[in-house]
Amino acid sequence: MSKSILIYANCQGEELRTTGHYLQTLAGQVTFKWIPLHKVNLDDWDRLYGPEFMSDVAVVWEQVETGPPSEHRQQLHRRIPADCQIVKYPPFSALCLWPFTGNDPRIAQDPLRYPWSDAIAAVLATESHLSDNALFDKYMQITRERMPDLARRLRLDVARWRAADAIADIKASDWVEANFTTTKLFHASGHLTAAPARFMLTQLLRHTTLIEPRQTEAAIYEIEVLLRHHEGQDFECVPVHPLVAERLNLKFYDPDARYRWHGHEWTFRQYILHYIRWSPYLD
Amino acid sequence: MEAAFVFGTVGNLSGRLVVGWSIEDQYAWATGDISVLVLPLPADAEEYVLRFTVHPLIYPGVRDTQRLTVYSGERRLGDYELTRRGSIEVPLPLDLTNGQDAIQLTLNHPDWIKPSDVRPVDDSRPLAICFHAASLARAGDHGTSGHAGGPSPPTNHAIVAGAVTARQVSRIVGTLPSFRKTAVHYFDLDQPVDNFVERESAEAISGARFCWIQADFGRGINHDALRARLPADCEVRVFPTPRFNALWPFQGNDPRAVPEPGRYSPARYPFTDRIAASLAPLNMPDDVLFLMYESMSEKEMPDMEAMVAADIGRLEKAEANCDVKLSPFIRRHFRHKRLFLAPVVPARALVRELVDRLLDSPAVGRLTNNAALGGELDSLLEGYIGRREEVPIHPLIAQRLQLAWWNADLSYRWFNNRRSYKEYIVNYIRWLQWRP
Repeated sequence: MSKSILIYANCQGEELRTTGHYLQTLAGQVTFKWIPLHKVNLDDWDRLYGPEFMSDVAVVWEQVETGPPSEHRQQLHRRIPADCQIVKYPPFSALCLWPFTGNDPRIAQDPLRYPWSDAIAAVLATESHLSDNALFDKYMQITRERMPDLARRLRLDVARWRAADAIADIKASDWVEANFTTTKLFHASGHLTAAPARFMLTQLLRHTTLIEPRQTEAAIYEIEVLLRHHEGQDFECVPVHPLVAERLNLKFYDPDARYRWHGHEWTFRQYILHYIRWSPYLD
Repeated sequence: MEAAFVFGTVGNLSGRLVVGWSIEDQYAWATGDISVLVLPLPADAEEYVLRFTVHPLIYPGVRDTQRLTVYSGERRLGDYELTRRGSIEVPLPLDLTNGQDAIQLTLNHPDWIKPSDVRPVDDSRPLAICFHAASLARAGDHGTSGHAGGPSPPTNHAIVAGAVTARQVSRIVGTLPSFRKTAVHYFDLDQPVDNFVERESAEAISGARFCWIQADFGRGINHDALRARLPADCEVRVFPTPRFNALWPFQGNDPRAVPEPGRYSPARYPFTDRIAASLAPLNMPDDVLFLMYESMSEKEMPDMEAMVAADIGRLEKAEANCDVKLSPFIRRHFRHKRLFLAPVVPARALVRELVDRLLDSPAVGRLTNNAALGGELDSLLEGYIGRREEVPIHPLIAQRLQLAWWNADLSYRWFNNRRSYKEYIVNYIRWLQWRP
């Protein structure tokens, strides 16, 4: 009978599950399941994640969160089989790349249109009568004036990465630090390119005792093939401000890059203008 | 929305938080018993509502609620009991704001608490409520900007019927601000009309002001049933299904192209390449395989101009009974603009042409302001990549057809993947898996 690996994680877990689903090496032996920790509600535990769901779970890949365990995490631990292996791993996130993330009063009424907020762009929303050039110039002027200390922001991110590592079986902060300026790892503060997903999936497989080492290596080779040209969680790519790239010395940064936003690819300037104007877009 | 206010050092209110605040990067805590802030007003005669996005400092069992009272001078504007993050509305009476360019608000929040008294943290500030953002809107205006606010029910209906291209057109037109009051429905012509009515509504058909039908798709019985149920005054226009095979002349049989349930449908590589397929059994390095493909495809390269003429001829024939014709546009522009991403996948320029043609009709003129549509489409289709199903173009074909938009460094999207021409060909020959 096929066993399951249960992934308890935010949306990054969906990347692991989907990639796992395409691994032919493990087909018929291992099924990947995902409980989205950011969406699960109390009813779901009985409705979706009851004894039948849990019966074949042999391994849990548990994405850690600092702080006291949430009610949902406690539910998870009450319900998983007693003898299953638990592998704890940290989430990836980078707040310093988008220092103007803050609050936009429009999100309260229209939460899904542009969910990655930009406080400066939000403030300029009431000046959308300006021309594109004037509006963008104003955005650039204000953001240059209010650019926070990004070295400090990066230090805060690193501290968070290390804090998550401290309670996990798999450590990621050294890898993120080593690659942060040379490789694009994040499309948005919590959405990943393929590189970190590949890194984490490889580590998780190597920690999983359910899978024979020979199969693990074959699966890792498959992951390389599957993700070689993959763009990761790219449906909402939030452009990086050129001054952020400069201050953080992002070597991968391309000022002319186009960023996917659902059914579009926009430059930084186009994204900012669409955001300020809260423009509709296509999937 | 007349004004947006953002708390925190990156926001635009720091100079207006007078007393009783602890300002952090992206928000500001109201501290102690009282906070005071001054908000700018438009100095007009409108009545306004302030909406704050806030979250209270709650420690379950220790502090479950934060009370908040908002005053302007002695006047009490609102009382709130906050238990979680959310929005609060503070109505601003006209007599307080009429002609004023600012209003001073005093916030009473007596339930502040020091985190260090509850948890082992180094924070002894007397924190009450965290303020994130605020907006100033006219009373009764629940929108944000554009048509992003609470949707009002549509007063008109329209249908775009057909297959994938019809669905794409329906989404584009339905998203245009000018169609805010028109529900634009997509009808899959492979499905019975009753399914459509069940999913949408009876009014979607009986109230349709126009119906655009994609030719050559779906079952005839569904076409007939749809037309029979449309109201007499509904304007019906038929548009063709654009296809262009000339850019991919090696389509042909590949026995590997079958559905793989749960993974790939209709096939791992649905746009086949018979030359690549013929190389599949060879166990060679990538570079050698690619060179062989290049060599074989050059030898077998057909007369490209004849293929183009055949494609255009087929389309002319297919659109003979259509109200919208695309073949003249394709013939005129295919060398200068990218019109197709794959044989049956139109690119942005062709989608735009199709939508422009469809919108140019009396029925649309009665529903919308035609003059605004062009600008709305420019904005909506900026950077539009559409369906991410792009099949690479052979360099020799680009050269022979003098495709001005093509260059050797183009990369091609395939769902969430992006590959060069060479990578695509080698992956295809090896029939490698890809991940959506």
